[in-house]
Amino acid sequence: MSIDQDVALPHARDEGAWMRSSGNLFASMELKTEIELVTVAKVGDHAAFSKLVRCYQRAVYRLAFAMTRNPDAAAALTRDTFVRAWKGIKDFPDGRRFFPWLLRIARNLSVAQARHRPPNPKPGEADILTLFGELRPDEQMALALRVVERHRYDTIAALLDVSIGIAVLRLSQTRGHLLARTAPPGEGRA
Amino acid sequence: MIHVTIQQLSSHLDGELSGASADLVKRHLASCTECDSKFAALKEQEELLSKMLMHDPGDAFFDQLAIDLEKLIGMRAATSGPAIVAGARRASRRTVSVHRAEPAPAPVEPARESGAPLPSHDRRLAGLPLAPSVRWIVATALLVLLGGVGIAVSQTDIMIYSWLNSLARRPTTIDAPPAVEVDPPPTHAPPPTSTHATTRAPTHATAPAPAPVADAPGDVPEVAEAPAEEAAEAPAEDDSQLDLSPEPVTMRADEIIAVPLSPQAPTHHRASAASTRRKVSTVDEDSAAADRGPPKAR
Repeated sequence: MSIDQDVALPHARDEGAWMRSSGNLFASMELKTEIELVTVAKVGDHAAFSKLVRCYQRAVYRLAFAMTRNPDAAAALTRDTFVRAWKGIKDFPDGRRFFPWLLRIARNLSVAQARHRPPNPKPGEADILTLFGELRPDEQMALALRVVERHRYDTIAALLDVSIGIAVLRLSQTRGHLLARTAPPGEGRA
Repeated sequence: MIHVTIQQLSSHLDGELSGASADLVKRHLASCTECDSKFAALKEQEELLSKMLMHDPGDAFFDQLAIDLEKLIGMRAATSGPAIVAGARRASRRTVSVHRAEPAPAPVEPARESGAPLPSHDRRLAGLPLAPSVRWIVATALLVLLGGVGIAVSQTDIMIYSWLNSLARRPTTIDAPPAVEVDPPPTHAPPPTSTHATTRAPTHATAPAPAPVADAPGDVPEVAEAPAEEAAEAPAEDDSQLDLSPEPVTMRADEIIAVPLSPQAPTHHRASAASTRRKVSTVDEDSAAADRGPPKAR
């Protein structure tokens, strides 16, 4: 698995406009502070990386829980994500935001762990959770960013490194797929 | 009636439609029960998903998670572990790097805007766990190990080649008997019976001893004659003499069996094969005749 893939922001040159449209995603940390912390952490500073961990661990855990539907697996996925980020932070590309890079790591780790995880939905909630677990990781991530984190479409597109049109299409198709699978036959056609 | 699409319903659910599009969808939902029920199902599914996919373990969990992560990345072990000197060194380096980064964040911004790579080679090497001297020692040890392995492999090749050579030179002819050791040491060779009789003779004062065997050292020429005679009888059994002789090597058993019957085979091979076939056919005819029993003339 490569954690050094470019997680480019679609509007990286217009950083100010992208930050204004990002809603509450980076409200806990300013861009300048994040760049300074990442720069210092890239040369091996543990304290700077620990600040980044404490800033983003809740968001990473929430998405990890949505991807795994299990508290222990979500905690393990969060730990693995940050450990992998620490190992690869020296190659972190400049001019990129830290959280999309973390999400890409978490997504790749989730795909790797899902191959060895037995399906274990809760009784009574097996339908929607099972169907959600059968979605592709990108679809799960898009829906979780909207349902759990309540991000706007442009933020979801930036975090997933896709255009806004692709993000809207992915969300609507995922919802339609879940609705068609859960609704009785003959219903839900438009 | 033209229904609204799932994309319009999804965007309307998220509040992402503009004013005119949102009004259009609202009016359609008010007049179309099918689309309205679908929108209601979509809304219910969204609430169910948000309820099932959300989980907040609390602040204590995240504090412990941060502590675990600091242990995993080596921060806790460096500051509170037994390696106090190493921890102090890392702490001093950390302090220096933080002080270097805080008052002068200006170099970061131009590098980011111009897209130039920020970390230098020294900084990348500084993140490695090994010291430079240890790295040199490890590299030298690896080179020595690789050299030793290469020498061992070459020696093994030479030994295998010489062993195969010796195997190829072993005589496997049909008529050659195995070589027999015929070089007993002269002092351990048993003397002939007559010699025993004559050696006991000097104990009797009256009996005259024969002249050639009167003295004990006379045994040596008689015993030494035996190897010389045997060597003269079988000189061709020596391996070295076989190898050095210019005469053609006799046909071996495997060569006779594996002789090709095509006309491209060498002449002596073809001759040997023909003679072998002749012999075999003769033997076959004899055995067939024996099986047939007495001739019909009887």
